Amino acid sequence: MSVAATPIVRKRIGARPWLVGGLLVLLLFLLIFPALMLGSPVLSLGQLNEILFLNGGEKVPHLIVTELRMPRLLLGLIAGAALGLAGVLLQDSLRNPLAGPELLGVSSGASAVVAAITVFRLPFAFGLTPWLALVGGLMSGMVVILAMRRITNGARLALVGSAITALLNAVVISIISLGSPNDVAVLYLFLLGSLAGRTWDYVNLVWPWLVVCIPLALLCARSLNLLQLGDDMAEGLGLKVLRMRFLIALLSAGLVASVVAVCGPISYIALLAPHLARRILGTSDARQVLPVAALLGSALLVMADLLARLALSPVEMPVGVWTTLVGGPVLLVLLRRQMRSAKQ
Amino acid sequence: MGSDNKTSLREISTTITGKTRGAAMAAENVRVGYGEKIILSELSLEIRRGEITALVGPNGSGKSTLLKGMARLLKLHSGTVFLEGEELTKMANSEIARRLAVLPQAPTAPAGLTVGELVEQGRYPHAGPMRMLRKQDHEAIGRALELTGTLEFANRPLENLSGGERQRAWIALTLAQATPVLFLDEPTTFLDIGHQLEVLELVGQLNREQGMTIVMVLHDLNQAAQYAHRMVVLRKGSIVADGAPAEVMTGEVLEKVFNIKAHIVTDPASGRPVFLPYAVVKNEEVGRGQ
Ligand SMILES: Nc1ncnc2c1ncn2[C@@H]1O[C@H](COP(=O)(O)OP(=O)(O)OP(=O)(O)O)[C@@H](O)[C@H]1O
Ligand SMILES: [Mg+2]
Repeated sequence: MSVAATPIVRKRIGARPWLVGGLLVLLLFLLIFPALMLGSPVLSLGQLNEILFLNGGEKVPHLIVTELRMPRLLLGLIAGAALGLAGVLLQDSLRNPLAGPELLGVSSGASAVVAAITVFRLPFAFGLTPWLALVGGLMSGMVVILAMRRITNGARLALVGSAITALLNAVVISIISLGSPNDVAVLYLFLLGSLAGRTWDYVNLVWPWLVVCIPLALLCARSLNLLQLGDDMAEGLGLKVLRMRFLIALLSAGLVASVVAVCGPISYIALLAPHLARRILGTSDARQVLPVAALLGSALLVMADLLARLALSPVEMPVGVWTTLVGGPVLLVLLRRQMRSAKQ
Repeated sequence: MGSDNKTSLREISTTITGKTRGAAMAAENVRVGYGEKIILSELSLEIRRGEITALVGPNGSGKSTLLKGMARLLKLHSGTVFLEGEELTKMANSEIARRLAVLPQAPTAPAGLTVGELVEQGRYPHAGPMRMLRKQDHEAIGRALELTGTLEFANRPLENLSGGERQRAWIALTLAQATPVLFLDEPTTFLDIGHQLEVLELVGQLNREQGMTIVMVLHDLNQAAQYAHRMVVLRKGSIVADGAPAEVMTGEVLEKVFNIKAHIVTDPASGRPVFLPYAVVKNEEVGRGQ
């Protein structure tokens, strides 16, 4: 019997993941231009060039580009990637196509902190709010993750997560109901999720987390592939299932906590990006889905943010409205197709 | 395998504990269940090296539970399982996975997964630090695909295969793991008779040619008697019969365990027992008979 030492198992479509990744990187590059040029004022390419590379231009457009549009674009890119990755991590490790960061209670915890600070006028410097929201998000995330630690049944895990999250959301609502109409308006914007007015301070709060967590998330790919085969199979193949799932939940919390603290709970990116990635790639192989979902998450969030800025200009709609309005129906279509192909 | 040899092995293994040379695996006084619900209590079983052991018994008798308990997929309430004389709880999980492969009952795969991608997962416990596939991994994957006759489907998604082909793909996954011991939970369910025999022939071949120790749960007693060296009969969480097929397949055992009356004949070709059922025993009668 002679068995070739060369890979016998060729991927069905050799170049495809690289092609998809390449196209997405190109798309992200192209998105830089509208993101920095559009809005009020609208800038020309020449003006942009002057501002970015010659450090010139008029004072106000210069400030708008470097202090508002650039951090906003960057935040959209990294927040989108973090949400996309967290979606893959949670969906694969819980084997639940609807699992998302909401399940971890992170956004509820962050929202509760922001609500409490706003409504009770807690004496914290304004710049401190996102940090406190981050602490709140991480703490509630820890509670949920610890509660889920010993549960082996996937459906029960999701139930525990959503139960605790529902409880925290009730707390948020109660706090808001105590607030003045003005507070309510402010909180409403936060709870919808938005990138508007986020400066470099916010970016600086987010990026260190993601520099650590994104590479770690990509390293989970092989474990996620095993978990997709079921807990017994994964354990039998040498993975410590409970410990791995615990670590993956922690990692997801690390990815989204800072994002939520800064941008509010932006919905649907974490659900949509992984499903789109799987459909485009035609595989559930996490080694391909993870990076593509990250790129897709970035692209989706930046595009949604452009819509938020431009659609009803000069009025700005929070980006969370758009991700929900567009993301909900698209997700429905994707899941319907998936169910149809599963039936065959 | 000569019968003298077998008897002496059995004698040794009953006099010394699970750490004997002949035992590939041993469960000692294991208590295992789901949560607070105990399914097996104080159960002991030795799996002899190089044998095919068939676990049989009615639905819900605890066959899968025993298999999972021995394969560390269920936490033991008490008792110990040994793999080649080493306590499982003291071994790293990846070390166990290099020596024991398990195919659970009715495994599931994500949509779109190809046979090749599935079998590749079997190399996980062997892979290097970056979990990249190396030369020996590709060789093992190729061998597993070839042995199971699934090489031609390597690039096809699992959901596009027939039940028999799919089952062979799952077995290929466990073979890529390249372990001396293999546990199979109902590897023939949902297969037509031809595909059932195909899987069992494969199991026999793996045992003969690779010397693999195989423990499998089977529902068809005649097939168990035909292909296994030893049959272990479970009923309500305890072992009620254990031995060579000719010792186990008796009218008494069939009546007590499966509530059937049957004629037992010997297959002239293989010398193995075959049973022909002719009546169901009413439950009340069995109850009174106990
Ligand atoms: N996940 C579970 N949680 C609770 N009880 C379970 C679970 N799995 C099995 N049981 C119970 O344990 C007992 C033994 O089940 P087990 O699956 O070991 O039986 P089995 O002999 O493999 O049956 P079958 O031939 O139907 O596969 C049954 O009473 C069953 O109801
Ligand atoms: Mg079973």
